[in-house]
Amino acid sequence: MRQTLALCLLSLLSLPTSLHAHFGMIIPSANTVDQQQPSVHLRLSFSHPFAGIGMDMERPAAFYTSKEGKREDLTARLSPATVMGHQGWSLDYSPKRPGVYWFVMEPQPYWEASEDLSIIHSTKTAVSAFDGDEGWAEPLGLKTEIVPLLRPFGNYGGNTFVGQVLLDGKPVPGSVVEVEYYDQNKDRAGQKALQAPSDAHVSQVVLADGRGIFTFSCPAAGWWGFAALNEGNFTLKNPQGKEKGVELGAVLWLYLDPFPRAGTAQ
Amino acid sequence: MTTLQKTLRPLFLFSLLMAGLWLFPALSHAHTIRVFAWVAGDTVTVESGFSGGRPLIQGTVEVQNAENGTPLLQGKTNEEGIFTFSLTKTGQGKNIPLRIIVSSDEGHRNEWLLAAEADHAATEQNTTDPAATTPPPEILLSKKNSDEQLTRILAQLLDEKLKPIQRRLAQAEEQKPTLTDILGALGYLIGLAGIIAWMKSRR
Repeated sequence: MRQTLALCLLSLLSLPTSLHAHFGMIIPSANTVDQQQPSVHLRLSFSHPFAGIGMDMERPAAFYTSKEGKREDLTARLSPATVMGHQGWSLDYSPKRPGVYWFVMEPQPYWEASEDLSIIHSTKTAVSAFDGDEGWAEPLGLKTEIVPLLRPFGNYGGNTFVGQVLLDGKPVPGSVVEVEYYDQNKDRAGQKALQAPSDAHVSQVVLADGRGIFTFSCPAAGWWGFAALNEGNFTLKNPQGKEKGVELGAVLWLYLDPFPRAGTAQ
Repeated sequence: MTTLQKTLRPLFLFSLLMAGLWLFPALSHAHTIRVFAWVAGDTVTVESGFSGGRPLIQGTVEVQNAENGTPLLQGKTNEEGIFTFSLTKTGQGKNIPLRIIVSSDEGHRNEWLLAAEADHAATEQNTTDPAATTPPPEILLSKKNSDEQLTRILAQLLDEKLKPIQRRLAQAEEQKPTLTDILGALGYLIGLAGIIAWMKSRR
């Protein structure tokens, strides 16, 4: 218990100070596919989701889909796209069989001078195809990842997300998890961007417990990003050739549907 | 590996599997039927199960003409939740779309609209062996077989027998070798070369 507390305090001290958090993003056009809508359009970026501010992202080092442990490499199929006004990537994908298709992006390291470190956000999101619902709780074997304990589709706004943070396959006690809502209002005609009551509301923060498990109740429907941030046990050269620390982010994107309204009887 | 380890390994794997099943008891109790169907050649395969992956056993399958709702044929799913039929058996040749309705005794039902685009949809591995399903009755030889009929029957038989191979081929196509695979293969070659070199040097 005392160890956990110490870890929590340590993690608090190491909280990033930037106002808008960076998030690796994979946003599919839907998180389920069926016969009416058999394909998804996926948009990949490295952005500030709440503020809707994009950043240029180089072609990811790897992008693939993983279904029941089988991977299909999609890196070569990515085409350049503009996401939030900046360089991003996109592709269309049609799942062929029922199942849970995890989409995973391993970006190239991003040098963040203001934080004096490189950032690598391993990002994933799940699409359920033709009612497939097996294997969503399996770790994909990433360097770092959030394993959902709430089934990552078929949820409502207001539901509580529960996830476990893994680094090198092991739970990370006390891991810091940043949570951010993807505000798409700016892109919609006649809609204004959301105004957060304070800067602290832009990126919310939750800590994992001693088993690396965290819970977070999402107050509204839409896309929510969870980024578990930990320091890597290695260094990378910055553009000036100096060895610098690495922030390893495990990012998971979750879509929550609006709760249906009761219809009025005729 | 010692002999003890060898004997214990299947046991260990089994207990792991059982532990896995224990972890997800809730998944097997939900009762939404899911249906998935595809065409390969002349054969339509209907796959049905419950959420969580359990097959729907002895589920009723009804095939209709999707345009006018005319019932075309009926059947039951096997112990793997699979029902197959040949398009010729529908009496309307290769004409699709077909509406495939699957229901259970408890009154759960779901359907799949089989459209032309669904052809060759199933390129991934299927856990069931289609050869285990009974061949359509028209394959049985009758006395009045003309050459034409024989050709047709042979083609059908070949279709049926080649299906697993077709599927595996399609699957192999989908899984292109990764860099790791190639490096691994290279490693093997170098290793073999090393063994040969070692054996030669011993002579």
